[in-house]
Amino acid sequence: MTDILKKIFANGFYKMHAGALLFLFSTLIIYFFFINTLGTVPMWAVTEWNLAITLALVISPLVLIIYLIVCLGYGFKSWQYVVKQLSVTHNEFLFYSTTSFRKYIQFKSWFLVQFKIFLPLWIYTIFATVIGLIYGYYILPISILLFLAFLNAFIAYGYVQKINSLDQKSATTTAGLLTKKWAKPLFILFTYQVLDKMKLTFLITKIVSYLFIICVSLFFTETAGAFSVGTLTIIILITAHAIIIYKEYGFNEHFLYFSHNFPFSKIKMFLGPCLNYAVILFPEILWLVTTQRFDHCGLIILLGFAILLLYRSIMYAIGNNMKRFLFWIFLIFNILFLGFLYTIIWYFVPMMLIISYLIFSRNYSNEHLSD
Amino acid sequence: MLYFNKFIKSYGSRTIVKIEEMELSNGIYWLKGVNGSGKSTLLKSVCGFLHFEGEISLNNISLKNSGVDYRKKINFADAEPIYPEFLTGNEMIKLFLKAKSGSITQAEYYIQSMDMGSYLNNPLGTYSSGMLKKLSLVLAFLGTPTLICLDEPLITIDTHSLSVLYQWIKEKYEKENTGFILSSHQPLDLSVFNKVSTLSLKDGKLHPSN
Repeated sequence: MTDILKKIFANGFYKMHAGALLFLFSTLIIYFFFINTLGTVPMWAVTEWNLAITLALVISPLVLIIYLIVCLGYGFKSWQYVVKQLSVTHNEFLFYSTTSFRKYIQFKSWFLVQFKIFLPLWIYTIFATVIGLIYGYYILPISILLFLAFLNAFIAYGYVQKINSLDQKSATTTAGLLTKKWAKPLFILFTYQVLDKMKLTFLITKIVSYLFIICVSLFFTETAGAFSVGTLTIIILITAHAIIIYKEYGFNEHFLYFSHNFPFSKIKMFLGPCLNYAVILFPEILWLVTTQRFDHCGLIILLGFAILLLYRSIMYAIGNNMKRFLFWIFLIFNILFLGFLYTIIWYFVPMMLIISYLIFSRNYSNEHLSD
Repeated sequence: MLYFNKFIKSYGSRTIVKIEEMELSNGIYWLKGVNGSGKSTLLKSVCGFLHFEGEISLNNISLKNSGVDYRKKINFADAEPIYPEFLTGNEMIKLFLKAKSGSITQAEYYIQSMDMGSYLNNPLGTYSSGMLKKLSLVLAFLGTPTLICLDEPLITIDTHSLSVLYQWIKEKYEKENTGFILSSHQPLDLSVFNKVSTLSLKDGKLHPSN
């Protein structure tokens, strides 16, 4: 049972969040090991500072609290993922197979599943604890270990309770009730899906989005004009929405598969989803409208939608493959960034629109759409 | 009516269905074949879901050259339909009525005869597989299609609903001259219809027989 659960949930979790984890760890690695500093930093200083950072976790209560919050956030995200996967039809068999084991065996299996999901946290915590113990700090390192073990067990217990409880399918959701009387045309359905099932992803994306807006505004306002700030921001903002674009493709090909039989032209199917993004990107568009000149604002929004359509089209060419999608996003983002630096970004707009339509048109009904 | 020319549907190097040339006149067809023989793949290719090599046309309207006009004339019901869970049955019907230019009166007739009125305001996430199947059948009958393809219409629905479905097919064919392709590995109740032609799909080839 443990192996099957690990395969479905732990491996699935890493596969689904590969992008975020890759980004996080690669950023940290690049930052700590490869960043060039002004002047020469002696080797002893690098070692000492890295040691100080690690020790701060087991010495400083503030750093410890931040780390515990990160653990809680990670735990909540993994809980959310597993519970969502449990409701998927092809995992329904778990409700009438794993539940026939004794509860403590179920708990042991789920504990190991969660342990695997928590592996990055466990490795870092054990590392920090060992360093702490070597330097004679005992209370905080052991507290962190106990906290992580408790969190691991608590979440595992939650899974056992969840899988053994009787399913209560609600007749409607809050989002469903609120939007009951609203019209639901085809090209706005993903927005409803976001409201119904992707609230947390949406919220995190918006927080990241606004953090980027603040950062770019703070660091570049003095050296660049408002138009340049807006241009750079939109490139970053649309890229920050890559996860939403990825999910939209999955939603379309799974839940809106029937629409391939609708008598809609390819151009309509290509441009129609912009309606979804006009709603989803409303906060960002609002920021642009309030900070940019009217004509500049229109240009920046056009650039944003050109990038967005290109990212969407890539999905149609590669199918539901996060690794390949991230590779393309990374590549396109860098090209766009170079385009921005050399002020040739505006030549990219018509090119991106044409290329994305050609990719979409060619791949709209291809092999990725399984029968 | 339905014309195949050099039709090949393959996944990678594996050919699923290959039809050199074939013309199917208007009528009711029972598409037979064992599991995995490519029935669903063929129907989905015919209905514009999947990419293929060659040409398919319906009443001289080419799927590849006039996709919009072609799709106006062909409807489809999936073997195991999946729809957004937050939508209600009524909202799905409205969506299809608009896309397929159907009328409310038409939808009401199908809803009443299949006795579905009591739950159509509930979200689809609460529907059983049988309820979803019946909804998918209603959706496939909306508008004025020339051809309706039903993938495994006999599975998951109860015997009463099945007899209602047979009645719909008969009416639609006799009154509106709508053709049907019904894929099924289970035998159809042929006594309901005056004439049903059989299409057997075996080893990637389609064999018509009467």
